[in-house]
Amino acid sequence: MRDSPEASAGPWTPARFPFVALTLWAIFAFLIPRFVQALNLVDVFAFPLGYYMAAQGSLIAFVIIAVLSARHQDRVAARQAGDHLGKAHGGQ
Amino acid sequence: MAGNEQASTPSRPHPWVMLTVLAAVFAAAVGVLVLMQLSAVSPVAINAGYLSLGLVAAAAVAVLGRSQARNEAGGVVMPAVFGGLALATDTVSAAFFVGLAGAIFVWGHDGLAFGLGLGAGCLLLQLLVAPGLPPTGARSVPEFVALRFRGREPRIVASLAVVVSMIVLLVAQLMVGGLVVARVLGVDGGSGIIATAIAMFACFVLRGSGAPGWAKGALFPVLLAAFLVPLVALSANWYGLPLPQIAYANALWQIQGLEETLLEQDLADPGVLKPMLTPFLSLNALNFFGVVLGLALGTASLPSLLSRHFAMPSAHAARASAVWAVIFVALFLSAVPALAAYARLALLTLIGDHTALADLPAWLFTYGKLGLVEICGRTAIDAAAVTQACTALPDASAVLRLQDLTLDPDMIVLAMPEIVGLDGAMFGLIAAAALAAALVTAGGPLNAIVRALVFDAEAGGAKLGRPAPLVAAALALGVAALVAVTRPANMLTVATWAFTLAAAGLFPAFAAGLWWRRANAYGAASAMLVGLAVAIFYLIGTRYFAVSFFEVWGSLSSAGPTAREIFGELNEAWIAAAPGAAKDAAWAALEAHAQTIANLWGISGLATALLALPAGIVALLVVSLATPADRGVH
Repeated sequence: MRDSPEASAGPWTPARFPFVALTLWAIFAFLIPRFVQALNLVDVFAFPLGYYMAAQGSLIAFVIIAVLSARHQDRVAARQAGDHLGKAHGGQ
Repeated sequence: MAGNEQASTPSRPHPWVMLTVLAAVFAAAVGVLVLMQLSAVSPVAINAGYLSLGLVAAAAVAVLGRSQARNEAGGVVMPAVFGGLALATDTVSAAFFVGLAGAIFVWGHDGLAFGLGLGAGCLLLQLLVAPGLPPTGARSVPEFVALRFRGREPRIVASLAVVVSMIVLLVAQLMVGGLVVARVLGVDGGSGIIATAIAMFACFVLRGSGAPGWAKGALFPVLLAAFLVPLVALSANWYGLPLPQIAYANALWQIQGLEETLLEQDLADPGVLKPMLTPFLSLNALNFFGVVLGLALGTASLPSLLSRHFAMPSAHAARASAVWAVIFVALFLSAVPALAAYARLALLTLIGDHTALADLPAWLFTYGKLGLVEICGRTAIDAAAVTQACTALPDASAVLRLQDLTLDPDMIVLAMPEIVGLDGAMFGLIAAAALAAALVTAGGPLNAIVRALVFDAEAGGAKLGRPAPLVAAALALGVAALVAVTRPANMLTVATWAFTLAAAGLFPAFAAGLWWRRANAYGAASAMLVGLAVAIFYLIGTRYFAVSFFEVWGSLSSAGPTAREIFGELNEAWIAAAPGAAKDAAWAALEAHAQTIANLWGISGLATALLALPAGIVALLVVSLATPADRGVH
């Protein structure tokens, strides 16, 4: 576990910047709560949608983003490890 | 850092075994106390039992943490679930456990900003910060800053930001512990806070200042159970669906109906009633955004949380624990709006039943004696005082009306079982869990302060003896207790200040340290200094020096012409008042009014991040680009 691929890439250059996940994060944390009045016109599971998103919906979205992005990052890290295997082995 | 795996000894208790044993012991103890209650043992003994249960749980976590820290210094492969539980305990902490639901109860939709910010922060931590920390080899925030940016200045500023934000977080945890002790033992709030501070110090001594262990994780199931058990019971009872996260939709609609009924029957003043589902009545959209921003970025740079990620063996392990933390925190947060809705529904029902002032329920006075309930503008100490205050009103009424009643958000979670009419066992469970959480989650901030003050000074060459960590911890607790006794605001607000200070002081420099190579020592130091200074200035200025703040910055305030006129009148009244009691009263009125209008562009103190973060980011960009790049950092 200790000599993970990301560690071998150097401490100040971690994995790729998570643009997509961060964009989704910003949408659920800031954009959707901003439009609560419009969303409240819709009812989902007997909840007004805007209130529900701020109370629980965004949290569900955060969990999904967290799981998917962690999977993706691990896959990228594994691919990088494959690419740099020889270099990392000698360099470290 | 390599080769520490051998350090762990076979005597280390397996985390799952530990978790199960702790949870089972806690459940058994609650069972015994409930039985005692059924067999009519005196309530004093039972309350003392719940209090000691909280103390014992905290002590057990501290002792286990000590043995773990000794065995696992340097990082060991722990199940990620367990790391996630420990992170979730530290994130939710006593302040949010007890404070969050009260905000939704009092402010309705706008109170959701706090939970939303906390959840968003956990995800941000996982995406941006957590995986980057283990490969750096640092063990604390100031150490990270010192490794990434050369020179002493960035490290000193980072230590300052850590100490300030963590002391404010300690204030919030002390307020929780103080409230529980005061409520259970019937002492005043100040004594409760001092007792809590002593217990926190004892836990710190027991625990030692070793590496962050995972023992805290055992507390999270207890917190979750204490919160969910009453809610599940209520949901099953009221709506036949034992799933509070869904069942409370019914309560929301009932609340909406009751709000209209109260208005029709003249039991609520339309100017005072803030419908629960209507957004942006207490915090406007800008401030809502600011609260979410401050809490989210604060979570992602909170020193007491990050110390855990520094101790992880790899980026993968840090990310995996962080994912579990998002899941657990979301699980807790999703239940909070249900508690708020049930308590609100019960209160509105009480008012809707035309409850006479003579037969108010006892819980109003229980919390009134702690200074948390005001009826007709007077602290509700007993029925006689309430009747007297209410008959003195110009529009006196014989029944309780919504506008007559002010509940402090701090009390809602603890009082919920009584508000909805559940029995005392539920209160005991919540109180024990809250006290244990306060004592245990104070360990994170204390450790961060001790690390920043003592270990960094030693790394700089100073020779401090063995008692130095204890002295630093005692000092920090002493300062925090002094502030907590003055009750600067409700506990959720204080916790939000702490997160805002961490976000403003640390986030820009921290994120740039991980993701922007061109950021240099000058840029990082000025970003931290500017962010911290703006945040402290705004928080203290608008809270403690509101009158001078408004006099100097009044032209930028969002106050309307009427509010400005009132300020002028109150100011003249204060100047004209005769020295003595009259002058003090005039000043109190002036200051209370000034606190409502002392702001820049309508940004409330809770949303300070809106001012401090841009300031810090601009400082980072400008200074970094105007000075030469650091050499030798890769």
